[in-house]
Amino acid sequence: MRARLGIAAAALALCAGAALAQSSVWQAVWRSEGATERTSVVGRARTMTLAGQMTATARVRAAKGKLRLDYEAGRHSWSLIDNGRELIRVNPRAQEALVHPRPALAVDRKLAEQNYEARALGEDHIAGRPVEMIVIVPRGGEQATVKLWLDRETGFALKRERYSAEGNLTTGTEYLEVEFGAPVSGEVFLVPETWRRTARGGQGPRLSLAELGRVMGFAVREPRYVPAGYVLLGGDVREWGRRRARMAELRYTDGLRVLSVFEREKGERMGERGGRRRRGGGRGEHHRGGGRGGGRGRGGGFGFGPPGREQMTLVDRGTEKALRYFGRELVVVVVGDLTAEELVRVARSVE
Amino acid sequence: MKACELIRGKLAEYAVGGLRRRARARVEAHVGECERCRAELAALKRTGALLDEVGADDAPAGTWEAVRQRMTEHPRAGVRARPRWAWAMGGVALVLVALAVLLIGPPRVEEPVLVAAAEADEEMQATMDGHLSAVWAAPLSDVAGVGLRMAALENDG
Amino acid sequence: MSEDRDEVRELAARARAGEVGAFEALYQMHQAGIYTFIRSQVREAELAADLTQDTFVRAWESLPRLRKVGAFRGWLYQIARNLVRDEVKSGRARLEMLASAVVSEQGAELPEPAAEGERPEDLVVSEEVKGEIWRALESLPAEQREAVVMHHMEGMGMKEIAEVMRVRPGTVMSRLARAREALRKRLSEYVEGSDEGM
Repeated sequence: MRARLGIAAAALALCAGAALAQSSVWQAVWRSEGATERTSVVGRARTMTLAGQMTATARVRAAKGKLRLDYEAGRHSWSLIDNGRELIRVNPRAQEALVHPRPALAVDRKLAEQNYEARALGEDHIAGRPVEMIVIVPRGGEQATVKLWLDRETGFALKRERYSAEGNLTTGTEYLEVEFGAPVSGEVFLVPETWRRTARGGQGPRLSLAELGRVMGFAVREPRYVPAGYVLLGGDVREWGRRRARMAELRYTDGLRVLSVFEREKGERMGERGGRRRRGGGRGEHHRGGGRGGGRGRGGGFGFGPPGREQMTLVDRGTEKALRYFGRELVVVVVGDLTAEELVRVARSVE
Repeated sequence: MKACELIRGKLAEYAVGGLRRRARARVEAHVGECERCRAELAALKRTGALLDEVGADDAPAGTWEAVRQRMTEHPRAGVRARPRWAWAMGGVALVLVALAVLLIGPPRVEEPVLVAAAEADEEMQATMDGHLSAVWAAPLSDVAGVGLRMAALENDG
Repeated sequence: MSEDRDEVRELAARARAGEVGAFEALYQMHQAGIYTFIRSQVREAELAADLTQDTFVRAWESLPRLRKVGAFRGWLYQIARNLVRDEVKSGRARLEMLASAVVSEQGAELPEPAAEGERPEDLVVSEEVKGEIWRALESLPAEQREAVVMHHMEGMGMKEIAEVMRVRPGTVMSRLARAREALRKRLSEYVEGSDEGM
């Protein structure tokens, strides 16, 4: 039975060569990704972020690669549908659906295997079912990036944990109960025709740098530095707000983690703190940095406090961080699971 | 009774050692005579003793290791190099440094200002939003957990 | 006491010069106080642990700019205090609020993630009183709570606390007095008794 999953091979292959063990563990890992193509899943899972700061239970229904999550967290409830093309946030009370194109990330699995190592850790039980535990660590590192508990029979991940680059648990989901092969109506993945649909976001990383530059009207640049292992997937235009503000978006991955680099020309944004700029205010427009040098405000000069207009700013959500950097001509925002220093390094290397 | 009321208002100050000598003497004289105020002062002092007993709790295990790790990630800017070099080169170097400071501005500490997630502006929210939808679609993503984070992000925004 | 102070001064000077071992010794001397101080302000153990980390990392980075090494402890508390204030003002605090709303209605089903109250059995009685004291402390205004924690749990004097809080020592004194009055009422069960002469 174990051999069928290939994980046992990993356990037994201790003396048969690590490479073989590695590849079979990876096989089990990738098999888990397509599990809902092979069997339907109906269950209830507990999910949390930031080592338990937020928790919710979710009713899960999945079939033919589609997924619906109905969350309940105290008085709050909401639903998400992933139909493979779109990610839809459903609000039944308001009969409203917020539709994000689901950017298909064509990540080469070889990239993950190059950058990470998958190790079989043995057996466990989740939701009353036997599972194999697998941990994925960066090559040359010890701290887990992903932990998976894979159902021995179906290969489906009954428990999953993701960790930040700094080794903190960022999200975790564990099934409390699960049934495989139960009928799931296709309708649960549909939004009723009469509901209001609001589209958001871009199409996914499909444009080359040159194409993106043509759409945006300025030369989009690749950062000269990204951390080892990351490769460019492509570019897109991100648009938001009623004023249709937009930034060029470059997407990088190391196979498991994502790094996003956003660029716009200076002076493009309306309502910037401390002053307004006309849209398309021209290349090289340089405003004085209100927050430079002094004026760090509270915090005794320790780098905290309200930012000045061109002060480099960092938002740390505990899971990923976002850093905005003001270059000579461009404003760059880097979002990813990196240390603040790395984000600064990436952002500064754009110009 | 009136003396009691007056003194009562001073007992806590007395208990924390906050009265001047004359006021202290007045409190002590009254407390010597008045049983109720004496009992009240004793209760206040016991409260202090109880607080002294609480003691501090240790930070969770592993905190130092985490600090240590971050210390290596945040190497200090070279604090010694410049003065030594400047002294070694004598006054000329100092003048040059001063000139450089005048021309280029003071050396900037390249440290970003931390902005609270809830206070992030629309642009930052939008970029994090875009990033999260890619994280959702990334291999081995914990989609249920990402969905929870998306909800939190919308709550912040 | 003054021996301690001399030791702190010497360690701080060595840490300022870049000696990690000296900084570790300072960490060991102050971690409990700082953690408890932060915990008294943010409550969530996890967040308090994070902010404790942040405090020491920031202290390490900023040490070269500390002129009076003798003032190390007060300076450290100042850093912690600023970090807490930014945090309370900020998103993570909001996230906590959302999280507590989220967790509250499922209370029975979800174990609290924070290691609250996980302490050895043999301390049961005093832990119980301790719990009462902490609950009473929570009812105080933040500034009074800060003063109480620094004074009673870390043994800091009025002047040092005043420097941390950037107020006059008289203000610290009156904050402590107001806190003492309020706590005395809340803890009456434990502090009212017949024996005198304390």
